[in-house]
Amino acid sequence: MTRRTILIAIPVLIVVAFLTPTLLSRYWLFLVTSLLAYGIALLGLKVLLGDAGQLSLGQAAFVGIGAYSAGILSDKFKLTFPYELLAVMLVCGVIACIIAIPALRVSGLRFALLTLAFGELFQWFLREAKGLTGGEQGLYVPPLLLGPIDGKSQTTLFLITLLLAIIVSVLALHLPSTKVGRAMAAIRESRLAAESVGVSIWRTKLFAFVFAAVTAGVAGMMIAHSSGSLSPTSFDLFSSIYLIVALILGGLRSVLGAWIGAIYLVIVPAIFMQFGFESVYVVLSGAVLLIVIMVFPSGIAGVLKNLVNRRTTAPAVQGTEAQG
Amino acid sequence: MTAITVKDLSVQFGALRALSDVSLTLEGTARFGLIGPNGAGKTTLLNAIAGFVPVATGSIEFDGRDITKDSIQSRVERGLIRTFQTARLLEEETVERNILLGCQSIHGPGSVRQLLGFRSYWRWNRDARRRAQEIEEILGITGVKDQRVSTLSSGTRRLVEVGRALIASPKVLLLDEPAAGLDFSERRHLEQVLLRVSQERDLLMVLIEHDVSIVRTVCEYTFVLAEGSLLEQGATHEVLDIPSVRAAYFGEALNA
Repeated sequence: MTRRTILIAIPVLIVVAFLTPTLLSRYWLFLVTSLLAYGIALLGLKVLLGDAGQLSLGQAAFVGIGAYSAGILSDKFKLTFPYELLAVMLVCGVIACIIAIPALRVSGLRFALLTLAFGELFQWFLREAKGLTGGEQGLYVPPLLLGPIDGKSQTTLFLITLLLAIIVSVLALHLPSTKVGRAMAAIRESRLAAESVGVSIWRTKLFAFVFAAVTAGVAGMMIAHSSGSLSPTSFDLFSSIYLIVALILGGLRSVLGAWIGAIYLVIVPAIFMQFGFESVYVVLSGAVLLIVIMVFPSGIAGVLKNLVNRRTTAPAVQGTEAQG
Repeated sequence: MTAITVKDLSVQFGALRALSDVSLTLEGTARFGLIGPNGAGKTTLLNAIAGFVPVATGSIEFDGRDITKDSIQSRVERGLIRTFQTARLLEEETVERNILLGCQSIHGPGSVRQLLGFRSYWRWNRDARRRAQEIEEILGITGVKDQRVSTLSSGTRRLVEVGRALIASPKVLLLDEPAAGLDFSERRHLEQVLLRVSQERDLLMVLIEHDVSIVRTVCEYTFVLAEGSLLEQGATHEVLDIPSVRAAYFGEALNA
């Protein structure tokens, strides 16, 4: 990230933060808040799958753990926002560490299957532990407890989620240039290269796994408060798969890709629904996914990046063409 | 003084005995050649020293410490670094990032401090970049440091891999056929780089190489392996003139 981008980004974000709530209806503000929350979860998945190359089929379960623990903590323990956030992060981090003990011993397909099993286990828990989770009936989530500020207001939720989204985006942008970020790239590209320079494969994977789990949990927490109620189906295997699909569509290796994925996941279906084309959405999104995977392996973000590069280098290219 | 002592080392792959009872001592900041026909066990020996294959019997000592059962990671942290026969690089990353990858074994702030950008991390990172710049200058690849590795010639890729191995200031550098696939001028450049690096950095260097002229120029001592056993050892110019070595190693060439 160059200094210029930062200088442009800050005022733009401030304007967006103050204009969005006044311009959008309550429903659209809710959608944009969900978009930001899912974006946070996708950034975590980007680190785990895009950077470290570990395919997890249990990511929605971590979103669910964040959501349900947020609901339970704010309802039963009346935790205020900062404590609730820390508690949710802690719960997700600890559970991720426990899952990691068996899951990170294996890699590739077996890792995917282990995380799938974990997701199914979580589904079973949600349905069976009715006293805690409300089972199939779902769980009521009280508004955020923010002291003097109104936690029920969609604007407040939007602003908090936006702030969290910015923080996670900055971390995700910074991560690839760090030592652990390079270790992740090495594990993804060549295990031998990683080993030969002394990468601790287990520790690096653990870091990526916990990062993804904690961000998923934070996303779940904001989704929980924003929607007000939770049901198990929002966090099942299909939700995990949709997260992966959205990320691949947007661009596996880029922060921008995660955000494009979030738009695909939240905003696009809402637009289709508004015009009554829900069934078309499923077909169309399948077709789009097919095209992206076959033609643009680096996702929509990759296409955009190429377009920008081509525009900035266009004069030279045209010059040589003219000569030829 | 840096020393690697290999005692009665055997490595078994299923029914195949890749190395049998090899004993040798590598000592000092010198350059050692490891030659022999294909299948002689050169790479297996290097793999065993670096910890990439399990040892059946025998032991490997590094600076007086038995490392036979140590993990690759702990060997790297002690300063034992290797390269591969085919360069294993991060193809889509830049030269600089590939070289920086070699800093993994340099002690620094933990992952969370790196993620959150603690001051200790930036200090560590600045030091790593300075090291990378030094290495790029020694190798003569400063001009391509921002290029993606997949766009480079095989000679430059080799240098990048050597750079990645060198950045952590290893005590021992194990090079597996670094000149494979290089053209004449690239080979001469590599020779000069290896000589310079070993003199400037107090390295114990082990070089597996098929190109005898490189072994002659670079290596002071040479070990000859054949069929998993040590055939000869000694000063390079003497070893390369022993008739049995010439027969085993250059047999076909002599007949031709």
